[in-house]
Amino acid sequence: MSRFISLPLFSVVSSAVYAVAVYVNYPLFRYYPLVERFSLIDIPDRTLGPAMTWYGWIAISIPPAIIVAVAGQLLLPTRLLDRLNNLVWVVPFVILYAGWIAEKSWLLGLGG
Amino acid sequence: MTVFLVILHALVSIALIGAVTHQGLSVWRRPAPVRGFIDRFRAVPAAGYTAPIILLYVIDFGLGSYIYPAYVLDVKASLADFGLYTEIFLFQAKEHIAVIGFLLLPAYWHYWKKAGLGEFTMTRRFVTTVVLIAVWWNLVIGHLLNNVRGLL
Repeated sequence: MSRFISLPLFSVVSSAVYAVAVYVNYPLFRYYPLVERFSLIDIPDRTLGPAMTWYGWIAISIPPAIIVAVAGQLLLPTRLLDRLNNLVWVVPFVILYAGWIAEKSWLLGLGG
Repeated sequence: MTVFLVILHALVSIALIGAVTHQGLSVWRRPAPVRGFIDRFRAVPAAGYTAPIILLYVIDFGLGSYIYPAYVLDVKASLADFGLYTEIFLFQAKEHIAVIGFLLLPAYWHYWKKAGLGEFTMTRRFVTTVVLIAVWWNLVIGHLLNNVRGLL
């Protein structure tokens, strides 16, 4: 399988997209658990209960990562691909930074 | 049903934490004669843990994702009512840290199974340690939140 896809590059790109999605709060979809309903847009209706964006952040990170990781494996020279794969070192830090920006209001006592 | 799944989630986490701790400590060990309990704990064939760790992580992540709405509706609302924002922050961090481990799994597999064990040693150590920290954080914070909810 890894002849056709660079697994480290998948991790790098999916993490980067997830971090951006969290940072700008752009999920692929929202889930309203109170009414068990999915929506591609944010519905301004309080009777639906809280919207969950976490699934949508994960979902939006996977497709571009697959495309880039396959294209990278098939098209890029090995040296460049190895350099990109080395970006796996920054994966936890970009997600932690985006997560901090998104969630710090809780720690500062300001609520969600 | 949710209580059963929460307990199952915790049990899978415990199996996962055992496996990833063995591997995570082993990956930093230099070849040397085994002495004492800690050394025996670390002196395991670490590569053999990779597939079980990935399987357990995916199962645990799936279980956690499935029961997450129950947390949002019941637990998080209670925590907010009591002004326990720090606890909410810790759990919000848990969701992102769980994703770090989840999205790193393909790279983790690559550096353990596809790259030669003589190559990328530091990268393999780094990725394994990140997965180890993610698993420990998630189990400890999940347990903490479960206990806090029981006290409310």
